Parts: sequence; C-alpha cells; structure tokens
Amino acid sequence: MIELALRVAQLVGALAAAWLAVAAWERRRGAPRPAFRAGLTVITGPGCRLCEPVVRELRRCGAEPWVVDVAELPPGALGASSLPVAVVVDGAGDVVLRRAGRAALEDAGALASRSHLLGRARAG
Amino acid sequence: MTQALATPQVDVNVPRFNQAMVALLTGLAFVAQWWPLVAAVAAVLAVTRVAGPRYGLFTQAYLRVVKPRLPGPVETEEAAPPRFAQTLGALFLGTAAALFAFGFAGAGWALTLIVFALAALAAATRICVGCILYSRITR
Repeated sequence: MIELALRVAQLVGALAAAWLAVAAWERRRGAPRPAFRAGLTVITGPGCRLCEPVVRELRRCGAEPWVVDVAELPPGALGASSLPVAVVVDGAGDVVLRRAGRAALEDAGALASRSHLLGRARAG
Repeated sequence: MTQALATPQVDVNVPRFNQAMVALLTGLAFVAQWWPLVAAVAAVLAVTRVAGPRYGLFTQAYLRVVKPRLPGPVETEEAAPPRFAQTLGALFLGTAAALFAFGFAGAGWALTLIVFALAALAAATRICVGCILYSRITR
C-alpha cells in the first residue's frame, strides 16, 4: 500500500516538475498577457514565408488583422505552432475560428467574414 | 501552374484525446509497475504514425465514441506539429520498452515518467512541448 502511494506521489511529482519547468520558462519571458484580443489576430514570426501573403490576403478580403509576433505571446498560447496562425476570437475570449499555415491563406475569406460578423455582433 | 494543397488539418481534440490516453495508460503502467503496458502504448503510437490515423486505436476511439457526443463546430489545427509530438512519444516509449526488456527498469521508468508528464500537461493545458519543438525546428 505504501509502495502504491509512493508511486502515485512520484506521478504527481513528475507532473508537477513538468508544470514548474513550463512556469519557469514563462517567467523568463515576462508576465503572461492575454493570448489574443477579440477579433482577428495573425501570429507571425521570423522566417515565416507565408506570413506576409496571409496578412495581405486578409486585408484584401476587407479585414484588418492584429498582427503579433509569436515571441510576444506566452508559451502555449498558440497550441500547434506552425506559422502563420490566424485566429478569430469572440468577446468572451473564445477562439471561434483558427487556421494555420497555408490553410490561413486559403481560408482568408472565411476568417475575414467571421471577424466581420463578430464585429457587428459587438457593435449591435 | 499546380495549386499547392492545403496543409493537412486535424480536429484539435484528436491530439488532446491521444495525449490523455497516453498519460492515463503510462501512469497506470507506472503505478502497477507493469511495463508491457508501456510497450503496448508505444506500439499504438507507432502504428498510428506509420499506418495512419485510420489504424490509430486512440484516434478511432475518439472518432467513434467521443466526437459524436461533442456539441458545436469542430476547431481544426495543423496536423504536423502534434504528429511530430506523437512520433517523439512513440520513440521515447519504444526506447523505454527496450530498456525494460534488457533489464534497465530504472531508466525505462524514467523515460515513461517523462512521457506521462508531458502528455498529461498537453492534455490538460494544450501546452504541447513536442509541437513547440517542431516549430523551432521548422521555422
């Protein structure tokens, strides 16, 4: 019984160690900020060859995305991390649509239109 | 000119469910000190990666049992980063299984605990260390 309890404690310890390691990493990067604000955000980064085309395409579709560098986000805010990532966030902070990589370019129309709908809902 | 194909996408809950199953089973294996379960999880991950999600036990369990009960539209993300993380998990657990087979139980359990901790963290918080590594490598 004691051995069992010890093993469970070791499991909890391993999980706590992983959690603390990630927390230490976040502290090094500064205080955590809200991941995304309401509306359309495009996360870019150095060497990202699709980032500029995605932002251009979204603007061509009538959207005005908030462009943020991945280095400014807290770790883990992005989830899957191929760039660029385009997210549409509602007023409650929930991600309602998300596309990454080439899908962000190909679905630029859907991203722009969803962000417009949310903008009208917030204004109305 | 050939149109480039869209980046493969995956339902965001698929990797999370996989991670939760890996965490649950490796945790159970550690508590019961039964390493064949570690080898079994490694095999499931390896088969999923090699043969595709159609043959993935955890993925199929999610698609058949969990997904039909989830309300609302499905959010998707790029498939490559979580697949990379799954490959790492398969390698770590496969190595652990080999260590167990050759009598190095301590090292085997150490690798198993690392996979457990990272899988549990990813399932609970969507902080996928393997995915972050993928972005560093491919950026």
